[in-house]
Amino acid sequence: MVLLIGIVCVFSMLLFLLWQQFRRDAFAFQQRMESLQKTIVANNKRKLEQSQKIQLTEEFQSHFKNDSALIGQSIFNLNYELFEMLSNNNLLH
Amino acid sequence: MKNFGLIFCLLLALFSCRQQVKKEPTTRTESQEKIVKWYQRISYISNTHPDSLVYYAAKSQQLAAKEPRLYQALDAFIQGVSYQNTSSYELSKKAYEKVLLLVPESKYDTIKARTYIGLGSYYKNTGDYPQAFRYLYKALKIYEKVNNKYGIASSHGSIAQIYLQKEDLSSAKDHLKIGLKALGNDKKNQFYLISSHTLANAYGMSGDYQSALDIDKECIAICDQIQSPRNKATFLDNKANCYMYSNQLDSAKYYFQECLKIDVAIGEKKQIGDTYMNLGNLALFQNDYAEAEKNLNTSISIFKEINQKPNLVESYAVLIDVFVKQGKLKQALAMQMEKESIYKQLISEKKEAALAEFNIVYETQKKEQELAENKVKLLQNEAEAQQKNTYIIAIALVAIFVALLGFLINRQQKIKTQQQNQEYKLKAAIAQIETQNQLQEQRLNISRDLHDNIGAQLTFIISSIENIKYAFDIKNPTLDARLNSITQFTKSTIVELRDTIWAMNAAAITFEALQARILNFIEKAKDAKDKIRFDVDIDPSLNDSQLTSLEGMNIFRTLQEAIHNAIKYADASEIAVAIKKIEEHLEITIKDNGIGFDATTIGNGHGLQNMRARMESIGATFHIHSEPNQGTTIFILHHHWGKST
Repeated sequence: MVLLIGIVCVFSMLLFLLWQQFRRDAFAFQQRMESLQKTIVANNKRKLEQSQKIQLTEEFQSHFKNDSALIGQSIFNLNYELFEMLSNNNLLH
Repeated sequence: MKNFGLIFCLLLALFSCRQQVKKEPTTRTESQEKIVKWYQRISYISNTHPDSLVYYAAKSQQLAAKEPRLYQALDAFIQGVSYQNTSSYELSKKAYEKVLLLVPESKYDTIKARTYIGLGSYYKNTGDYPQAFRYLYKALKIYEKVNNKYGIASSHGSIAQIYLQKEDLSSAKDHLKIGLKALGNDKKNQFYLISSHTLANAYGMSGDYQSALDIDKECIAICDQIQSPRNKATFLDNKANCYMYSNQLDSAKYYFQECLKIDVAIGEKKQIGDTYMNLGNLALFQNDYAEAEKNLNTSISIFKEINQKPNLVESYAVLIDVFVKQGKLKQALAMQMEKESIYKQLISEKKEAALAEFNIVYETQKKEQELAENKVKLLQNEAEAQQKNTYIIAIALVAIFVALLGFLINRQQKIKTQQQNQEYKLKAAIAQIETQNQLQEQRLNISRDLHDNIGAQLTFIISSIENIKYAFDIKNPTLDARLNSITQFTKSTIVELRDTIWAMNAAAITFEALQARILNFIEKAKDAKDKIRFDVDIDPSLNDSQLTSLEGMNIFRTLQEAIHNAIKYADASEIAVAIKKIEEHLEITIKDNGIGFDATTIGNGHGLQNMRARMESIGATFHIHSEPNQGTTIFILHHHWGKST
């Protein structure tokens, strides 16, 4: 009887210790996961912000591409007319 | 008289059995009822039908075999009385000891007291008087404790018997008197008669015949009252003996004959034989040898018939005296030889009986020893089996616990692996996002550098044109228009660039910043057309709220487009911009009182498609309502504003 009680006590103690260890491990894992998830959320937010900014800059660049062509055309036309004017007045050397 | 004393001693002990067995709370079976009945009546049976004792003892033993301890104890007591009756003293002692083993509890005190009287009787018969006294006093103590007067009388009677046997007549009489006193006026019972008879005997043995005769007289009257001829005969016999030894021979003869009448009426041959022997003895006292010879021969024939050897020897002894007194020496010698022969037979029978008893005791002890050994073996086996069971249970427990531990550890290991995988995936995802963020950051940095360059170049262009216009007095209207067109176009590109930089430099755009931007734009619009009344209303509760840079930029551009349309195409004089927070939604309304348009004809022109696309890109809904000459209203509803989409 003493033997049986002893066995039950020892193994119960082992089970209790094991259970405590499992709980500690689970808690530590939970903490780590929370930290990683926060990092991911922060990074994603940053990524989104950057994406939006890139989208804005791409939009501007797209506009600028057209605007740049138009400015270039305007400057060419100005030069053309200037040369035409100089030519009409025999001012070209 | 001594013979009567011994017989009555046994009877006295047995009559102490009249106490009732304590009732068991449960209902008894038929067998149990029989055992209890025999236990209660064993004294009566022993007194009236001694030969039936063996029968009852055998039946009781048969019935009690499978009964509980109490009934086995009652049966053991019956066995003890039966053995005592047949002079098997050792067996009776064993039976009584068994009773004490079976009922150790104090609630069965009266059974124990009866057993103590039985054991006292055994030790008295074997001559161990101290032990006999010890048991009898134990019985007396119990009876005194429970205030059982019959038990007290029985105990004192049994103690008196020992004193009588030791010929201490004074002590015997004292105890008998105490016993009788305990009974008080309760005289019509066996206890009183037996104790009185023994006391009368004691008086007779001490020569106090008058006291003995007084007791006999009183008890004969009681016997008549309770109609007990058997007891009456014993007192008549006692009375006759007293008269005989006090030399009142005629009176003695009268009472012996009265006694004989009762004995004959009852039909008990041993008593008849005894009375004939007493009559023969009386005739010898009277020197009436012929009468003596006749009575003694009658008694001898009766004793021979019932094979009562001890009484036969006594009758022969008296007859020898008769022959000797007559001078018939030859016949006396023949009788003496006959007597010795019977005496030898008696001794031999006693020896055989003793041997048989010894054998029974030996066999019983042997069986008991074997039983005890078997019991020990059984207990050892049980202990071994129990130990084995304990080991099996212990091993099973260990196995269960080990399996449980193994299962738990294995499960935990799997969980750990899963956790590690999960953690690894998360870390990998973080690393990937960080890499992407770095790349995007690099792209943004490059973009910022590019914007700076573009800004510088555009400013250089404007500055150069302004310098040309300032340095040369340009009269040519075409050239002037060209230069103005380039300046205007470049300025609008710079404004667009500044708006983009504004949106890019802030992590989030507040409504205050948006309002300032809108107002700035309206001020410039007013420069273009100063008759327009602008009304900008932004909900104050939105002051603490923010929009993402994309949301802010797209909303600003949409507002710009809407105001531009209202000024340019609708010819509106009033333009109202309202930004409100309704529940968690953002509602933007741009309303003008311009000429409106027919939605079916305009379609997606005037930048409507562009505005719709901008709003849809940030997750907002875009609605426009316009009718000719009814103005135009644009509704923008943004549900998930300020959050990453």
